[in-house]
Amino acid sequence: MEVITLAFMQRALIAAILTGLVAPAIGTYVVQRRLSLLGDGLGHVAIAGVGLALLTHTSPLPVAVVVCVAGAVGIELLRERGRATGDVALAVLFYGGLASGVLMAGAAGQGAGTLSNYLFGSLTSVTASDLVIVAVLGVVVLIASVGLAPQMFAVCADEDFARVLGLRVRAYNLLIVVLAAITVTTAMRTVGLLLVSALMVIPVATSQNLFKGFRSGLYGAMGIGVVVALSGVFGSFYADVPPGAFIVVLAIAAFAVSWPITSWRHRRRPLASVDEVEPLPHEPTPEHEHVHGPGCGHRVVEHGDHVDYVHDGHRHVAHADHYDEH
Amino acid sequence: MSVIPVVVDDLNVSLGGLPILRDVSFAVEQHEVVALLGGNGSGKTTLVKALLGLVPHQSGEIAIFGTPLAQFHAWSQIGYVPQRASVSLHTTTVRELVTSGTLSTRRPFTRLSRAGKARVSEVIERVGLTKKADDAFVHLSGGQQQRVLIARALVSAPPLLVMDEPFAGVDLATQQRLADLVRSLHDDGMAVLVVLHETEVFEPLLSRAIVLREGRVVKDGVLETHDHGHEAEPPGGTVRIIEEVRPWR
Ligand SMILES: Nc1ncnc2c1ncn2[C@@H]1O[C@H](COP(=O)(O)OP(=O)(O)OP(=O)(O)O)[C@@H](O)[C@H]1O
Ligand SMILES: [Mg+2]
Ligand SMILES: [Zn+2]
Ligand SMILES: [Zn+2]
Ligand SMILES: [Zn+2]
Ligand SMILES: [Zn+2]
Repeated sequence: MEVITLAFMQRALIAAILTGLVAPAIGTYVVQRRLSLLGDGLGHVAIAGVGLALLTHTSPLPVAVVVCVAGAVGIELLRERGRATGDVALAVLFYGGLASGVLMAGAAGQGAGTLSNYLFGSLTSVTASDLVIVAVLGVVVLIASVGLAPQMFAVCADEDFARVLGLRVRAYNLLIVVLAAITVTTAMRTVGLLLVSALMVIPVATSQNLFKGFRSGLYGAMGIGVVVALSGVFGSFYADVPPGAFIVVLAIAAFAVSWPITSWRHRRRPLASVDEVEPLPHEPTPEHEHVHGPGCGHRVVEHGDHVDYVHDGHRHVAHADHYDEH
Repeated sequence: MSVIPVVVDDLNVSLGGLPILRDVSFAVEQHEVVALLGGNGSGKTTLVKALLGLVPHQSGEIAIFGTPLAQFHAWSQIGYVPQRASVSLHTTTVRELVTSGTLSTRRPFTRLSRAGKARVSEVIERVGLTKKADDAFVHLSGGQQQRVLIARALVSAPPLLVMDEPFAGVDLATQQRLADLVRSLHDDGMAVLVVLHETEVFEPLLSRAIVLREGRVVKDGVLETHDHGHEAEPPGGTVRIIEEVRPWR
């Protein structure tokens, strides 16, 4: 275990913990909004940022963050307009990002080898200044995705209802894609830009198989994310393969294991659950002098297995020595 | 003290360039349960959404509790039951959904108070779903889901409840019970605007019905069966409007 004493491994492990927590956290909202491929597209956009940084000899991470966030805002505005051409516009943006990134990297004299460090992750390339950016941005995304969970959950679950709650739905939707863009970019050293989407989506699906409820699902996904990211980094060190590939394979393995657990849980549920109506709380009338009965002058209304008498706009039914409101 | 919960005046709404609502005017007073009737596509859902600011209107005035819609911010005063549940995450529990109804009064980064949690359990009990409270919403039957949406709308104890076909797919016995629940809340002072196809179970508590046809109000009046409790007529008669009223003009 003396690998832990290596400085580059310490940085890689810290980055892995943060990415493992953050990617599934924001991924929970992305999945809920059925935007699972958004992370993938944003990864492509970030590649343009990396290419631009290589071309201008600046640090890739900050440039990629700015480019990717700008792309995310553009995508959200397009989605909000609900344009029929949205799919085409997204394809242009995503593949334009990938192609221009590769072009700029090539023009900078950097081959596919350099770029692949960003596409699939690379243990040795996490610099100290990268780690500071990853840590700061990671904590921001974590605070937002856990602290604002009730609001973002409501917006993702039912947009119209969230509006009637007075929530600023547009702002939250924008926040979710911006946080996703930050997450995608800061994950580029750990899982890489082409594979990060898998870490946003697969632990969420795994967690949904294992836990009931939105909040347990959120925390479960974060836990699974940390475990596979850390294991992937170690595996990558010993097997000498890009960490991203190892992390994603582990995430898929965890998902495969969670699958039978769900079907086992479902099998234990009673087969057909009959819609048994629980009785609503019992409510006696205040005072009642009149005795209801056939021909008493009050209108009779059928009510399930008995009849009620309509009495001053209320429905009354005899029960023991009094009448109940029905 | 008596601010009118809903006043709509000369409302015109177009969607995709087509006029959907034309010159719609009506009001819902605090002591009223008002039914919004009309065939499929007559514009009932559009009217409800316009009223809540979910679709824009081209002209006309909407005031909620005396405040023009654009300036209205007291959202905890409105409970909304949408026509369809659009809940996507399949692990979401009944309790989590109902809890989201408390957000109109909660600031970001604050926890739900103990009283708030008790209130959530209370409304879940009132719709008879205590045993299902921690089950996934998507595993409930259609009628049970509808009850969850009603509980979610009621959790903030709103003085105005707006429901869009809350009884679609709900069996008659459950409809009765939900109507009973609405009635007891109405007795406590809640105004109700409800889109209906079948008025049957609501009949005893409806004060008025508004009928839309092709986006216009074609009828607005008191129901024949109202205040006629001593007539021994068969239950479930059809609604006929005997008295056309437009009290806000
Ligand atoms: N976003 C939209 N764009 C264009 N037209 C729309 C849109 N939404 C609704 N419409 C049209 O507006 C009309 C009224 O629709 P609405 O949903 O209000 O009817 P409704 O009375 O609620 O019907 P139902 O009883 O089926 O619920 C319909 O003809 C519908 O096609
Ligand atoms: Mg409708
Ligand atoms: Zn009687
Ligand atoms: Zn009585
Ligand atoms: Zn009793
Ligand atoms: Zn009864």
